Amino acid sequence: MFAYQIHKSEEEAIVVFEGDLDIESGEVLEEDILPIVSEYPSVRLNFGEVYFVDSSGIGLIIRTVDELREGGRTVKIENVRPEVMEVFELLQIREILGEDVFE
Amino acid sequence: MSILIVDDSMMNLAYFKQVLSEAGYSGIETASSAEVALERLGMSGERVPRKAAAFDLILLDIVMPDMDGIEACRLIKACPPYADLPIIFLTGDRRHFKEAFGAGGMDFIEKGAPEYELLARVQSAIRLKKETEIRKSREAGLVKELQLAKRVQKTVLPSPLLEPSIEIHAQYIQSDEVSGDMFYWTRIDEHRCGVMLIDVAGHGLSSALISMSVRSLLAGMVKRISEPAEICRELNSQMFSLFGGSRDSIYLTAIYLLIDQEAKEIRYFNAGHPPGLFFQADQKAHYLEKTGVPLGIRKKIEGGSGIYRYESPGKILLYTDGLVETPRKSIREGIGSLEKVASRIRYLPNDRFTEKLAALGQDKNDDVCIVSIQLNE
Repeated sequence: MFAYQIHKSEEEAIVVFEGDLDIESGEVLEEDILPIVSEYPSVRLNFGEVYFVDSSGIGLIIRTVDELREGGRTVKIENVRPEVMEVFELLQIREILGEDVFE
Repeated sequence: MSILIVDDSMMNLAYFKQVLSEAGYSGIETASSAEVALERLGMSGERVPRKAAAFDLILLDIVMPDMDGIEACRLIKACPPYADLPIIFLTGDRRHFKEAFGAGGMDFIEKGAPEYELLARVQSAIRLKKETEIRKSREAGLVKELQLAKRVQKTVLPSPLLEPSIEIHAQYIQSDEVSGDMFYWTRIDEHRCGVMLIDVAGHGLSSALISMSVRSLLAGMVKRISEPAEICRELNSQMFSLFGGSRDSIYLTAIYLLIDQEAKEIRYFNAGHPPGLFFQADQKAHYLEKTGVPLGIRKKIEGGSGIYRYESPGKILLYTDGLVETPRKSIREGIGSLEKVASRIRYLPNDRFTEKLAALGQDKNDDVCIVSIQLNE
């Protein structure tokens, strides 16, 4: 199961994910979410309700953040659950995306 | 196009045959009873024909003196070569419908219905049968291709290394026909061996293609470059130049050990891979966990590399995350419980050790690969 909501304000889009992020839900990230949020200068990705991210999901997160940044947006990843953070850390996501992506 | 019409009335047989012939169907055969029809299908005496008779459709009367159409339909549909052969019932009585559909009939034609209705139903049944055949043959072709690909992939895996001073065994469990996991080892010189385990993100064909292309680089690289950190950088830049331009995020995790049994030293790099576990004599497991960024994501990487000097012999266990990852559970805990199980069975012969651990990966929905290196005195 995977769902998302986007809360928009003038300067900022907050994407709240819910469910598991894998190859299928990753497509939603790319095709549905990215075009909407790339209109905003600041994007927050809220992972509070994400319980599992697989290797394909990690790849898609990295690409999404890279693409938004290339377009000059600031991106933050927030509320990552401990079990998901372990996978992020194993894959060195802080080193890949930089410390500042996590507040 | 071949159609079998089964009816005990000669007049009905002649009528249906004429209508179908006039509409351009050829190869029409008739049978005056269910028994004659079964014989024509090679099914008399409950035989199962080795090859199906070449019919695309059966038109089957329901009420016949000996065996009725419903019983005949049940027998034909239960016979494997005819499972996909469509049967349309010819009937004058709606009371039979429930039973007729229950027996596996796909459609019905009421006797006395206009010709266009008969022809439309016949045409759609035949079209469906043809489409099913095409799909099935495509699927069978794909399965065959995948099985061949699986064999090809397995042929590039090294066979166990069995020497007095060192033994290496592996287990390889694929969630799909082919997988993105790959291992490689080679003796470099009298004292040194190189051992690598890689895991391409994702599963299936695309991951397998990537792992095979990386595999082709390894032999040359491992012989040419001795420093693991440098192999890591080289592999990353090769991955990046091969796949960096792709719109898909392609990357792999890898761990590589250069084992020097004279210096009693392991030099390694780990690129986003779960830590290797070194069970030395009766000591607690040592984690080979100096880790860097996975390969293929960034153009330039620092690489996580380490050196570990050991005193006594033991086993080094490498594995892909499929063995320790359970969705929604802590992967650290998964590694911890693997360590516990492995520690308990660490004195088993090396091949038995990997087999026992592989059992942990059997019910996972992911590719799993296990490599165990037994270092002897």
